[in-house]
Amino acid sequence: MSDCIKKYTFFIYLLIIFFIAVELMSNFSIAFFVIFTLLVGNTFANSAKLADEQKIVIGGVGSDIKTLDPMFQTETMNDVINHYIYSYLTQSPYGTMDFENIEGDLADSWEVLDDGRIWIFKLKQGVHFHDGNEIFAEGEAPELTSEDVKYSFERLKDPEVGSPHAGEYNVIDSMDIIDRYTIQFNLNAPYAFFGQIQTYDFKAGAIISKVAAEKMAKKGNWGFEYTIGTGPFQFHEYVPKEKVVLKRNEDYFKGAPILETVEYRFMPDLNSRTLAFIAGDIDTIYGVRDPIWVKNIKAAHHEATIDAVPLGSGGVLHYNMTVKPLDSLLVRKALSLAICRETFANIFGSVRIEQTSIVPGSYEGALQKDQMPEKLLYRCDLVKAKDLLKKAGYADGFTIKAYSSPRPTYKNVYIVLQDAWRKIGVKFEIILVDHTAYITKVKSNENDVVVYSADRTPVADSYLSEFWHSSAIVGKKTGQKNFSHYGDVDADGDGKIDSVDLYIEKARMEIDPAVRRKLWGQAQLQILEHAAAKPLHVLIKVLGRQKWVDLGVDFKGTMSWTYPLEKARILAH
Amino acid sequence: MTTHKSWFAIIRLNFSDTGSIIGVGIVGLIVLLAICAPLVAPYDPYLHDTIIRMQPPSAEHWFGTDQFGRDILSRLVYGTRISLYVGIVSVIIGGVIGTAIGLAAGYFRGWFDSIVGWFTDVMMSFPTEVLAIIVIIGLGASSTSAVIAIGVVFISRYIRLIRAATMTITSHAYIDAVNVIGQSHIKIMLRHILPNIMSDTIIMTSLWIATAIRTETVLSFLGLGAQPPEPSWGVMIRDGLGSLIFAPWLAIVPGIAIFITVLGFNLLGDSFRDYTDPKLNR
Amino acid sequence: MSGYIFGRLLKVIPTILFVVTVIFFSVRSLTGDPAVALLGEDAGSEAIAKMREHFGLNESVLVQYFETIRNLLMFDLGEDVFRQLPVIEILARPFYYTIELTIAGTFLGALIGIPLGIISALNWRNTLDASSRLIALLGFSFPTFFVGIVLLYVFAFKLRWFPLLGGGDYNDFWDRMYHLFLPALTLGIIKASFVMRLTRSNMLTILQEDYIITARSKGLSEFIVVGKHALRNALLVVITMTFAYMIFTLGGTIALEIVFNRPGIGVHLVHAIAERNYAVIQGGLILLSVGVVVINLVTDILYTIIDPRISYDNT
Repeated sequence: MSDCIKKYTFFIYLLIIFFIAVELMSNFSIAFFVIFTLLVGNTFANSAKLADEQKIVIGGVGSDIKTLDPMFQTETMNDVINHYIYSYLTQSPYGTMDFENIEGDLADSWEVLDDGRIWIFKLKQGVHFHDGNEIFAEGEAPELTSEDVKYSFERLKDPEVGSPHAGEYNVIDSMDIIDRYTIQFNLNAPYAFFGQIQTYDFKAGAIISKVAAEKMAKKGNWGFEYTIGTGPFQFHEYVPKEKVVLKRNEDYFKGAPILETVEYRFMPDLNSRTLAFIAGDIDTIYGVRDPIWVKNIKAAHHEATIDAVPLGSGGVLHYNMTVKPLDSLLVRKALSLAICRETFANIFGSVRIEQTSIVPGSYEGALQKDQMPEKLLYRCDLVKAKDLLKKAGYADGFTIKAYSSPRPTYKNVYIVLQDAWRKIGVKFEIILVDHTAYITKVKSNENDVVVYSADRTPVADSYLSEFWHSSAIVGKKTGQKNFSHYGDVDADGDGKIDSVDLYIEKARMEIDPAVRRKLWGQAQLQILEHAAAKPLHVLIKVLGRQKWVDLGVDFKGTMSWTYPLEKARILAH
Repeated sequence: MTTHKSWFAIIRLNFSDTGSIIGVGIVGLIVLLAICAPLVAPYDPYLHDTIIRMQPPSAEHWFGTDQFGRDILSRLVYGTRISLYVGIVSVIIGGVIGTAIGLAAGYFRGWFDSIVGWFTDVMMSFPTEVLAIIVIIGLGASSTSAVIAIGVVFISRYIRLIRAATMTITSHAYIDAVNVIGQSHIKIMLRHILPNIMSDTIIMTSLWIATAIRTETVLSFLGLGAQPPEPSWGVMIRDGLGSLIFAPWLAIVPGIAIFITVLGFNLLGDSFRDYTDPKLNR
Repeated sequence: MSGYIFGRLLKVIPTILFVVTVIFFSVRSLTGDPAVALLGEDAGSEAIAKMREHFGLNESVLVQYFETIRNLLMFDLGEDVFRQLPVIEILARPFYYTIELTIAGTFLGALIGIPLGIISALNWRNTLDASSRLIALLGFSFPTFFVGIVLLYVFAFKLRWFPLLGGGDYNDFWDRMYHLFLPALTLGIIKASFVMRLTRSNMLTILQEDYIITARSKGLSEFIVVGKHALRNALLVVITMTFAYMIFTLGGTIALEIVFNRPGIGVHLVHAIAERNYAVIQGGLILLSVGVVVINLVTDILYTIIDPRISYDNT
């Protein structure tokens, strides 16, 4: 053995010298950096001097985008980029998520008639579409009119176009153009939140140009062929897998932004993103929903600001009640009781809000924790869970399986469930497939349980209709996300089919908010009673920015998972 | 002239070389760990304890804990099983199929050989990862899928190796002699050719086990390897990578484990090769 | 020679057709299709059915297959169905980035590997030999992406000598080279082990040849014997083999591209598979096979230079 050590001594020394050298050099460079900052940095600190180049680099999630067509945006990155390119009818006040006080974006004002069945929007005048592109030459872009608004919603709803968001505006029955700047929406039911849903970027309510659209040969997804809006920034360049570059819209109707360039870089790898952020190569960063990351980045880069945006996705576990043994109420209760929400609290910590009803607590009409009977909270109780399993005839446990997307919001939750159920003798097999395959599997009813997180219009109706109405059962032609098959199965074992369709439909037509809330509450109680799902948590979003990014507003929140940049500027650094 | 030593002689003689001693030591240790995992591992490798998640190495947890509070050392120990399984079984799959085809192609020549030659060329022109990704997405990701995918990749490599070796042997006069005696083709291939190319095959096999283990990590890195909660080293690196900056032990510890294992197999194969390579024996 | 090259190129056509056929059918057998990939998790069943029709996925697979082949014969790689851009436009830059990385990586590999190999051969079976062999094995034993991450961490993040991310500004040659260095070095470290082993065994063989022994016995200095005679002959083989080895490197850079955020062809392929972006997957693999064919062709020509006994004009 000593012979061997002798042989490699030279090499071992080399390694040691290398590491010492690296360590020394890195320390020196930090020392230099500190000295440099002390000498030079302080002179400029706190002075509001602007950087010469008004360019912001967003260290973005995702590896690429498939389209910039706002009616086909399905991923966060699309919402984010379109948020800068397009304008909407309404918005929450700049830099906030204040729904109570929504204000006009393209709309100057609006009025609500007939108990919320008729909405009349008056548009701002003198708003022009982006020019200097392939469709409109410099200075030749048309003014935005009510025709464009009408066209935008018609295209969204047009079955020939096939937008995935078509269903979200089912409430619009027809539209009437009153004059060049006034448009009337006739809804098929009173809808108190019609103004609010316009503020959601991911609702795809972006207004596009009819004139430009008519030049397009294709009906469906326009990909990158059509990128014209009225927003603060206009599309400049797309480099696949690399970046999307936007330039300032000099004619923006609220005044040209200070920033000249917005560069959204695709940085799927969290390490590179984090390193680049700490190193100052990117100006803003998409964080991860992990309290340890948040804590560490704050420690490693304390000059930066990390914002938790309370725009959350509610996460609910759905049981597929058509597969054995999940058709048994006792089994589902046992599974629910085996899951401890505290575990998720440890894992997600500061980026998580407990969710006890199937509708996230912040939504209009959601049941609050104190409105629910203790037993419907399904607090974890392993003894009782095992007991229920025994009663159901599964004392030795059973096996269930689920496909999972590799995205951590799904995968990590499934892994926690796997461990929780292992403790009561239930084997839970997770099969990781890529995201496209996951969606296909889930929608073709191949999962025994489904964890689904979703941002929706903050009204109970959006959750209940999509996840619990019998017409939304997966596999049906009108199928949405009713993974539990609630409405088609006997959930409590009394021989009758259980459904909450009536509550949902009645609430939609109900004008009195108190009655509406009561109907929604009854639906939620019934579903929880039948243990068709276990609500887990709402995860909020994390964003970070360098100290030299001045948003021009006291940032309180955003409707899109990105910073508002209309008034932002880059300080000298 | 090429001398074909019988393969067990290689192993016996090589204990004189330091490299192979280290190699045998490492591989032996890994195999031992895989077999005795439950005895060696201090904790249950699957048990979550989210209160102590992502803790740095300490006296209780020598290599720290991961994002679910699982003990990394225990997962590492159990991970040897997956790495060995993937490394060895995939090479066996590739080896058996590849040897059979390569042997037949090199022996019979003619049109069969041309097709095989063309086929291997085509297979080799696919990037390893892309080929594996397609196989795995088709089969659904799991360590067994990874085994099959890596096995498929190795088939063409074995075909090339065995085909060339077979051709060298068949050109020897004694094969003609055996042929004249009138033995069946199968017998000639199995009795006279296969034993002679065995040493080459074994050397490459130990090197390729190393490659297979490394490939499994790359596949796991791309999300195509073992499934949760299996403690595969590749998966551990992949999951740990996200926290490389703040919790580097999550990725570095399994990275070093892979390194040591692969190094062990490489040292072993290398010293076999050095010994049998006729050019190097003076 | 030109006749030979032409003959080789003709043989390429069935190979590429085979590649396309295998890819075409295997990719279409995957779970999920472009309609699902585009519309995402929130879309209802109706919207997805509509989009399938829109993408022409309801047509029979054979019709789609012949359509693809017909387009290919006219050198048309098709269109990216999501982005509405021609595949060739999407893949041109990535292909360039990948080739750049492959060549630079191989070059650095040779730069590190050849000297190590020479040292090793000249000090056969002593400490220096063992150390350089171990160094080579080290590079060979780490997963590529792991080496990449370590280099990225030390040289880009800690020392800040190199940029963290990306392939650099496409229109700025020096910026590209600057971004290229670390990934190329990673690849070089891995390749170096191969080159080192090759150089070592070739040098050892040549050092035993009669003419070297003669040269030595004539009392020529070791420097001239090694430098002038042995090295020259060994290097020819090493360079040719290293070049030939590039076919493995060409497609083997995916993980590295992910670590360094380089928008190369590997990254594009992985994502195209995830998106079920059929035309891009086909296009990317065709470009790679063309690359492999070119490398093989050049390798063969290099062999004729090394060994003039091989002549292709008669075949």
